[in-house]
Amino acid sequence: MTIDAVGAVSALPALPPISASDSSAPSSSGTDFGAMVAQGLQRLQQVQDNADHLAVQAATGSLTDVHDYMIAATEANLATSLTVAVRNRALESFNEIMRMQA
Amino acid sequence: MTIFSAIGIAGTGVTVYRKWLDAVADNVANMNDAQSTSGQVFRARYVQARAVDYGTGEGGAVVAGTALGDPKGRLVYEPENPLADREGYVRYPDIDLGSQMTQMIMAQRAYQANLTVVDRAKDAYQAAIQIGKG
Repeated sequence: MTIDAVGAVSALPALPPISASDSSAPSSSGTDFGAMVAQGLQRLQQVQDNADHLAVQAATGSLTDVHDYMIAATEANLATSLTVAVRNRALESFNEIMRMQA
Repeated sequence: MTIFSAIGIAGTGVTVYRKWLDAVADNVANMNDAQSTSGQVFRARYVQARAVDYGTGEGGAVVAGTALGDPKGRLVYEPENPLADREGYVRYPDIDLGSQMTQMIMAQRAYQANLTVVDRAKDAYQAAIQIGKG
């Protein structure tokens, strides 16, 4: 189970900032959503790497703790679910906003 | 690992009890190793676990080391044993099978308990991810 490195996200061009004249929009504070998603993906990558590493150990017979792999796989599964849930939620909100024009 | 920490913490517990089971297996495997009275017998292994300081943000348990039993063991009168000394004695490790079995059951049950924590934590996190779905 190889998962290619996530590179495209950081390569995306940054969104233009909301113009200052738009006073109704709140000033952006804290981490922006893009950075949050990138961070989440990076963490997911780490967890997946760890699970992959242990899967190779299990296959080659150098795995000392069976549960280590199962726990890593569970964590990878949960982290993936979480990331996908966040993405779905963001997409939902975006679609909702897009529908406002109609 | 800060996210899903309950799983990681329970995982360290599983590792501790796996090592304890290994120690018991080692003790039971070697409990009948006879030795001449001049030599040293197999020393029983006793796993020493301690907590990983929660203040560090990690939590969990870790095997700090292994204590070893008495190298003198116990003397047994076995004159027919080729290892016996002039008085007919040999040395055996001082391992009590009953106590080892008790330890084995404790380690096995604790291993299972920690795995149950992993499983329940997984269910809980999954439920959290499902919030607002459907």
